[in-house]
Amino acid sequence: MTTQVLDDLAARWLAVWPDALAAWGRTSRMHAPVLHTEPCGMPSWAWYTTDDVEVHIDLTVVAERGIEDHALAVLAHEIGHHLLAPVDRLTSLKIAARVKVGLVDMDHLIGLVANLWCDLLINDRLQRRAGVDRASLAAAVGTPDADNVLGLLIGRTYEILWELPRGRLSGAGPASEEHAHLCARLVRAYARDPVGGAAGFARLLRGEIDPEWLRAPESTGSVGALGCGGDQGGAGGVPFGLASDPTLAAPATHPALDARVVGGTGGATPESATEGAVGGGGNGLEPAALHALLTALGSTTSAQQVAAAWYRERAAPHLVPFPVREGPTTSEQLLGGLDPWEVGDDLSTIDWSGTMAASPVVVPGMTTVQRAYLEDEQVKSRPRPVDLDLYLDSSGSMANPSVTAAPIALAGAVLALSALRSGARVQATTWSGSGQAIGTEGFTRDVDAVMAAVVAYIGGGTSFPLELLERTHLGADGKPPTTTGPTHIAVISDDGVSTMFRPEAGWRAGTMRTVGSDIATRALEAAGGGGSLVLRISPEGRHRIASMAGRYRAYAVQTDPDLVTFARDFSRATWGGGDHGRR
Amino acid sequence: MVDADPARVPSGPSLATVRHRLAAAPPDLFEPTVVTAALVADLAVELDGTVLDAASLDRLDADLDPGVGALTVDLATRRVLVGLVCWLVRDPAVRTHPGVQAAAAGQRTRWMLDIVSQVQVELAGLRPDRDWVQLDEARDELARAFLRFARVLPAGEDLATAQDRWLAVSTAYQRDLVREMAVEQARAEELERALAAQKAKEAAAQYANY
Repeated sequence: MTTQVLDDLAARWLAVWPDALAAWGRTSRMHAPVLHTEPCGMPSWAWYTTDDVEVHIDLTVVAERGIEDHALAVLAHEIGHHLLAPVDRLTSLKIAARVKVGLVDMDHLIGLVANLWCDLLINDRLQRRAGVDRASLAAAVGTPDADNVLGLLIGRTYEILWELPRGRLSGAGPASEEHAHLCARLVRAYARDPVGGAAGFARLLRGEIDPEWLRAPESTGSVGALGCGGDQGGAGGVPFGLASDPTLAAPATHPALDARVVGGTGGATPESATEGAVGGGGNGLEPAALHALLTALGSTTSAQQVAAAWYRERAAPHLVPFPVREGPTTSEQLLGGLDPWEVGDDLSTIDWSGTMAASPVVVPGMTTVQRAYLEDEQVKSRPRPVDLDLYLDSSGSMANPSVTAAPIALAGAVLALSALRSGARVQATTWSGSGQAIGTEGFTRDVDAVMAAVVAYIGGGTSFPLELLERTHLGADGKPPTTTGPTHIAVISDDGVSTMFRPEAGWRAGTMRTVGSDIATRALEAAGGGGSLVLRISPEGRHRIASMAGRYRAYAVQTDPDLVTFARDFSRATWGGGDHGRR
Repeated sequence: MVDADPARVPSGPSLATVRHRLAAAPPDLFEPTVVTAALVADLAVELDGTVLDAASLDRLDADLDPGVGALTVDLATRRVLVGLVCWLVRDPAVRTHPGVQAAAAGQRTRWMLDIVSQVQVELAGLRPDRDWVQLDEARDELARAFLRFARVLPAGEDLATAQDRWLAVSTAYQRDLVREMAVEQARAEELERALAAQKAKEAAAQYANY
């Protein structure tokens, strides 16, 4: 294939681009596709990236597969990924999350199945409504092999959807007629709802196709060659809106039991039929599930980064409102009106323009005026929000926040993010046994560093990091305290908080010494912003802790949701505005 | 077309013709005051001059026009379907089509009555009455059912294609298919749940032994 031939091909395909956009409506807009004339090494001739909102075509593959005359079908299809499914990175991940649920234990197929599902919706819409001949493109690409059960099923589904003769797209291989019919109904039922139908589609494939075939690497390769490359964007990052969606982890409903799919069969809805798209509340993705999903899609985001994004999103509804700053205050003089200039006033203050405007005949003391000046209000000093020194218990009795939804981490995120939003600085420390503490090592306004500390997990013994508390508020080893202003000390824990006040042995500079309960008390006085102990503990236990906690305020919360509610209310009282907590 | 010799099924009018005729169906056909049996009888006379005998007319009356007060939902639906079939048969593009004439084989009234009875059996109760003329997929289903029971193929389709497309739009077929799969799937899910519960029990027992 010469360069000239490919350049000519590129010009021809580029000329079709406006028609491809028009297939999706007169108002469709998208910048021109990237037409590669050098091999890209991708498994398909075309793909779409949600990050760049860009269509890519590998013309070398186009020529190799003999589909040069199908520019409209290919380009309109890729535009469909932008306008119908998946549209953006968030929806792409939502579809993948639902596919993951439907596939149960076939995470390696998530990307492939999600793309097949999106392709079905896009192609059916183009073929049936826009008059774009996707069927000819599919036929030109070739029918699947007789042992490619997934390809046969998809091909047969297209035949049913588009009323094509049997075998035109599915070849001579045996395809499950019943499942293809059901799949076709599913496509029509969820034509405008890619997320809603994804789990049912995956469930259908998972139940119909031999698991051994699905697990074989060569199987997925043979199916992948049938369609476009789909969404190739989003190597990293967790879009906002994924962690707080309460439906993504809902159980998948088989299309045969989905009222939306079978509801049109003349009252034949089985009694157990449910709405496939509705997952109900409380079915959101856990941090570990979200990380597994991203990993399956090729993302290199670490579990901790995913967890940090997860808690940040979950904490968002509970954060204090953004602070409202008072308007700018300057001491500049403001022009006022004109006052009479009287004899004896400074001659230079006469406003001659005003005087001449009042009367062309100047009579000092009678017609003379001077400019009045008003003083602006004094500059107000902005109240300084109280910094936060946060300690989160991460002993063995606590859940790992990177795996499951941990209320203690969520409460910590609410407190820390509220403080940061109000302009305060935060030192976040996750602690467990003696010498086991992970944190920001100082006060910072770096959200990522704070969240990394909040979601850290140790899972060891229980020993409050008194030395860090001492170093922060009292200074140690001849160094001054690391605080720079009033600071609130907050500890979220359970019974283990008692180690904060109990005399205990600790290591310092190679010599063992006993540090006592007075460190916590003295640190509180030095911090100057108060101290709170938020404890997942019984009311009796709270009394016991309160008796040893001195001026720390001990709050007992009974349930995990209460912990988050408390953190929200506490944040609003401390950083939510007004004079509360400001020094 | 049902039980017909595949090699001898003639090609009839196009599906588009029948669908278009359905879309143009007069709203009077949905009125309960229409005497459907009279429609059928008049059509018989129009088709080949057959005057139905008294016994046939009595059967038609009893079946389709039992009188005011006896109009059940099922009967109302069947009456609408019969009215629509009569409307289709009256279409000159249909009844003068060579394929249709070949299928009727000189017995047009008998041919028409067969369609009337079979359409009722196949489609009654599947959709709300007006959907048959207002919804694309319903028009498709009724048009294909009509041609199928008229023993002709839609123009441009072979027997296998017509059969496949009929199954794709047939609510009754889809209903049976879905029922079977739903029962099968519900059973599979029940089994899955039982296995999961059993596994959880075993795991708990194992944990308790430590």
